[in-house]
Amino acid sequence: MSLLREIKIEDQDRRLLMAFCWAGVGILSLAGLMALLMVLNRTPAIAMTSPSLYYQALTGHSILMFIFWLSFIQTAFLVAAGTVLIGRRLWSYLLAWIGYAVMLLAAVLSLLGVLLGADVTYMATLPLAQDYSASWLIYLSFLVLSVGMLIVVVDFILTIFGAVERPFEFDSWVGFLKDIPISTFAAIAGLIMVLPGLIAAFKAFVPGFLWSLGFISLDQMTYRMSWHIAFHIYHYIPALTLVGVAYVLVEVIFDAHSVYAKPIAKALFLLYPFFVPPTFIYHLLVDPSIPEGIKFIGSALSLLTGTPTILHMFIIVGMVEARMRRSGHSIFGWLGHLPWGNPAFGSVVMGMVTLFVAGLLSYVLLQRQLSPMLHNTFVVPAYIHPMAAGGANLTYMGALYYAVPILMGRQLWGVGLARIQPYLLGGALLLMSVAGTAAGLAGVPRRVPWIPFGVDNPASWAPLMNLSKGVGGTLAIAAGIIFVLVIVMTAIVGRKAPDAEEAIKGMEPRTSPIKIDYVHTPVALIPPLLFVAGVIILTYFAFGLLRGIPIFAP
Amino acid sequence: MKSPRMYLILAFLIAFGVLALIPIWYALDVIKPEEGGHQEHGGGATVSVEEFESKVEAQMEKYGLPDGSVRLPPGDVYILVTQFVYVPNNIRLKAGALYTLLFLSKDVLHGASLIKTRSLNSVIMPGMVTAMTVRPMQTGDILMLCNEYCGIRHHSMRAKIIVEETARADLHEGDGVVVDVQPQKGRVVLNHGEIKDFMAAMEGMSYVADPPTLLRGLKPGDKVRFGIDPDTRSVVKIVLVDK
Repeated sequence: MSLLREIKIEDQDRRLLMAFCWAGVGILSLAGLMALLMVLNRTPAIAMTSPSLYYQALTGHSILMFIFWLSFIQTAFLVAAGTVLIGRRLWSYLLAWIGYAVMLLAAVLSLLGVLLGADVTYMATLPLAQDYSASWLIYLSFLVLSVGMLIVVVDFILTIFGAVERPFEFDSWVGFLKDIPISTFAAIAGLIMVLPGLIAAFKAFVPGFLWSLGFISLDQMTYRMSWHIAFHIYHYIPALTLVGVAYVLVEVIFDAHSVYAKPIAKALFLLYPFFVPPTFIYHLLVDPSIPEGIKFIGSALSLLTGTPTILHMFIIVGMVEARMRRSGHSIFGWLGHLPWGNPAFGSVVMGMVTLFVAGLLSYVLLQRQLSPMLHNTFVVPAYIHPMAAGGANLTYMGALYYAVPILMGRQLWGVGLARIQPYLLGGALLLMSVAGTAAGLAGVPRRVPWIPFGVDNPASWAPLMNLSKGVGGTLAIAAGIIFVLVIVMTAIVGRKAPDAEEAIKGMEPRTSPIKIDYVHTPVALIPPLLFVAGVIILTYFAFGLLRGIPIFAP
Repeated sequence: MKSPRMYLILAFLIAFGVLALIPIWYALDVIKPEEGGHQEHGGGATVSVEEFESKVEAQMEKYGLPDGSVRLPPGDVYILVTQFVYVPNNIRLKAGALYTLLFLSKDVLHGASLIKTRSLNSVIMPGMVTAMTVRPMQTGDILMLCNEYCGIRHHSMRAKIIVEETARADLHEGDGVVVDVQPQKGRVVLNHGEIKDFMAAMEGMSYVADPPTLLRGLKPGDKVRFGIDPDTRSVVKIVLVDK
């Protein structure tokens, strides 16, 4: 309970954070609706809706879900990391609200673009976009979003400067960075990626926007490279954010603290900006424009992009393990005493499980030599969904299960529903992923409506896609509906609570008394060990499959 | 372990264990920076559409059949790609022979996904040639489709590759299992059954492969049908048979 007791939320923070939350949930709902349209089309057993509606829904789903929902919720975490978590006020609330408004405008522009038929997906590739008259709205919306995020980021930076006693003295910074919680440090470390990411976004979308209006000519390869650098950095921000959020959740749920020195966890966050940016090349492994040697080096460097996350997961699981064992549980006995029925805990656990599976797939996908077998097949969505909709989303949803009741001063509505929601979403995503990987390996491409290749389709495609998209996709959407329902109903009819302690009734932290001093974490070593073994086994398996393709010439 | 720090050190060792993939790549012999990918055999070259189009036309003229398909000898295959067609879109290749498919887009980004059990995929760009080296080892059809979203009728963009058996009546044909592949020597070691009018069943028999590129994609344990030239006594045809 300690962390929750320490937290004091000012009204200004409350209003700002809830504004971000509502915008996020609204966008999430729209993106979910688009997902439903895609499921209705891509499930062979249903195969309704037209291909054009499918491409429109695909564009809307990818932009709203991956770009806007994640941007809003992650910016909210940034604001929380600079205020609530360190007991500070923002440098300027006006500036933050302006940033929020600009981001909201960007979301509206994107939605407008989608509704007006700019079916260009979030890649908005050149020169394809010129086939769609509304595509300028998409480039403009990405630009405006970058401006909005930059405004909030600047506000956050000024807030941090204000929080340091003597911001122009090195020692003062060292003391500050030592004192702040791990999650706030994660937010600061994240800036080292966010700022270059925003610069890359401007570099891609200013020319893109001008080109879409016909003002300049632009080479498709130049745009493709800039886009991929911006996208690559952007798609690692959830990786870092979800870890930062998981630290807070574990601390709240268990009153657990790292048994390892905090600076270690903090230093690990600095590895992301170090390992991530040079590896954007792994999205371009089958492009003809990049020499083989560069592809190989990019692929080899990419092997380290998961390392910080593996280590964080070890520390986080270790926090729980040590805390549980201090309460006197046996080496594996503590697993049975975890608060599986706490929606926030269920979310973190399923977030980690889906992240584990997605991580395994990511290590297969980033290997240069395997890329011809995997590029743009359904293996890619089968990986990104457990990664983003699982690892990141589930963790964020877990945070919202606490944040919304506390911020609104109301108890969570439908705790029973909320309890099953993370397991339903996690299970659905795993099914989508496993069946989808099999489908992708059988050659099902991504980003096509069903109906497509008619009678020539290999026989295995339909059953696998029915399972992946039909069953997995539908269940995931159902879980999304439950989440939105619980959050909205909490706001409307949740029982009013005078304080945080009362607001989180039914999700109370597990604070069993400490009986012994215990600092060993052997069980926490098991997931990383299984992960690395899994990567190696899957790699062998994948090379076997590659060599077995009866048209493959090495 | 007395000190909890030991667990942390172990975790670091495990987490960096993913780097083991690099020696594994060496062990699997899959690192070939000097070739491969989509840059060999003219891949990565910048050519004009006109130049490429004339090569496609010459190929159609020389190898075109009345049914609209092309029947091509081993080597380069030129395929021009536009929204939403491949030209040619009905391609006949010889089983067991090595081909380099060369693609150029006339308009937007496209893809090529060659599907036979699994798929082999590539990005096709305007202004730059993509090369895909393939060796169709089984007779039958290969489905080729676009896997890079290219517009409103993206899903209808596809072509067919028909893989045909090499027809040479004079070859001595046999069935066997690959024991060893020696690409440097250009030799293949086979266990095979009786080859009618030519040789009794043999174990561990080594043959010269002509050309040595026949051996690409072949690995020990593969069940194959092969053909031996009566004059040179070397293997001139080798095709996988279903396991």
